[in-house]
Amino acid sequence: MKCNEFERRLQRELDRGREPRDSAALARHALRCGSCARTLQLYDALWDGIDMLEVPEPSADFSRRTVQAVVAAAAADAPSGRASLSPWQMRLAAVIAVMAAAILIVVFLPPWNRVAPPRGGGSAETVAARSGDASRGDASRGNGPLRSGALSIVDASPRKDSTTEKLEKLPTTLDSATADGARPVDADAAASGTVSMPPAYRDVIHGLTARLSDVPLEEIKNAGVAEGLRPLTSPFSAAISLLRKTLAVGGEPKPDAPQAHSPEREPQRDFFRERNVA
Amino acid sequence: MSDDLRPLVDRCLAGEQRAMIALVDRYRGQVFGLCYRMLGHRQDAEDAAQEAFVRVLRTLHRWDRERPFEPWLLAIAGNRCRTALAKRSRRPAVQSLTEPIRDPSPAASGGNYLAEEVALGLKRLRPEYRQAFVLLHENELSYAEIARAMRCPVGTIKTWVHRARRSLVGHLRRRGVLEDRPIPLRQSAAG
Repeated sequence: MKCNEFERRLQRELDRGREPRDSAALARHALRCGSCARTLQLYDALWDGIDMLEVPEPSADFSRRTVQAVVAAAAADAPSGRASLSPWQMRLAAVIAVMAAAILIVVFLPPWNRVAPPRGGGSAETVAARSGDASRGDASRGNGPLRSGALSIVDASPRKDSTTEKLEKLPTTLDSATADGARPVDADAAASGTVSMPPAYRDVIHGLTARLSDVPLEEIKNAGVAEGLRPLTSPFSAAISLLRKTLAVGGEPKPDAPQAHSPEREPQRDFFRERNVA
Repeated sequence: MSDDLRPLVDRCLAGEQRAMIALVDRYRGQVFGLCYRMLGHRQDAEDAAQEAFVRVLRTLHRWDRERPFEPWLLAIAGNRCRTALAKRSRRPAVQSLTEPIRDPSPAASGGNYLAEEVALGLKRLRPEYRQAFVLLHENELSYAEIARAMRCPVGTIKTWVHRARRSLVGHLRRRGVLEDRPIPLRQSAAG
């Protein structure tokens, strides 16, 4: 027997479950070959080591706990009566549920609640939707001079264009009250009703505020106020103020910037007056 | 299949818990031994063995009665062990960095030391080599049964077992297991 045959025969004996030392042929070759004798000795030691391997026993209540786990698993499946979902099926179901919820929200949400306070551009579309056909007619005129009562904001493009700039330049004061010599009224405070103001203004502003999304522009123009007051600018200024608060065009309003003429504050620019001078 | 196993399986299929306990008691040693040898950790082995038995008892109706029960059971246990090893590799646990050092004292050169060295060598084998080796030498399955359990050709299983043996012998050689060990073969052959 040669050494390569020795290795092959040794493996065959082990495959048959026989101990290496029991093979006389292997022992005879090992007597003549020191390397194979050492290999045979190592396999012999391995065989002994396998026989002496210690296998600990499982815990005493292993069988009982195992059967309890089987019963619990069967009970968990029984009442449901449905097939268990795989992880990817669970994920798909979650995606479908989210999409369905989004669709329901879009369908059933009241239209006035869909207007989210935009940041930056893209706000004019909302204004156009609120202002109705009259404002669209103004938009077709292009970038003409802004007239009192003409809400010419219809461009729905998200960029900040001339229309947006016009919106930023709109006056925020109740200039009719100023012109008539009355006490200046802050537009924001007037809209919120926290300051005393002539009942005519208050009624018109509150009415427009409540129905802002439904009021056509023509109705705003022709809103009836008390005699001696300008019929257009006061409610319209309040409406513009509300729109500016809603749309936040040009970024967040500066908290320290005055929103109306006030003797204690720095006078605000009067855009109408400046334009007339020009 | 042995004659006494068939009625036991039937009772298990009928939902009798005593029969299930009897079935688990009958094979718990083999299943736990395989799991312990594969995982090298008592608690992990107990968990894997329990998972294997739960799976076996819940899918007992799928077992082909024309085939032996034991390889099917050990195949499921081996799969559980490999799943546990894969989870362990993804989540590395704290492992002992210590390694047994050979004690040259005569009291320590007995069978315990040899068994510890073999167990250490087994831990260092690849999982598929280790499973095939343990199923052959400890659970005493045939190559055909191991091949069926591990879903591999018989030749592949033989190759794995041979490589496992060579690796273990190499481990024993490197660890100096034979330094104080007599060579009975020469003596017996000479005698």
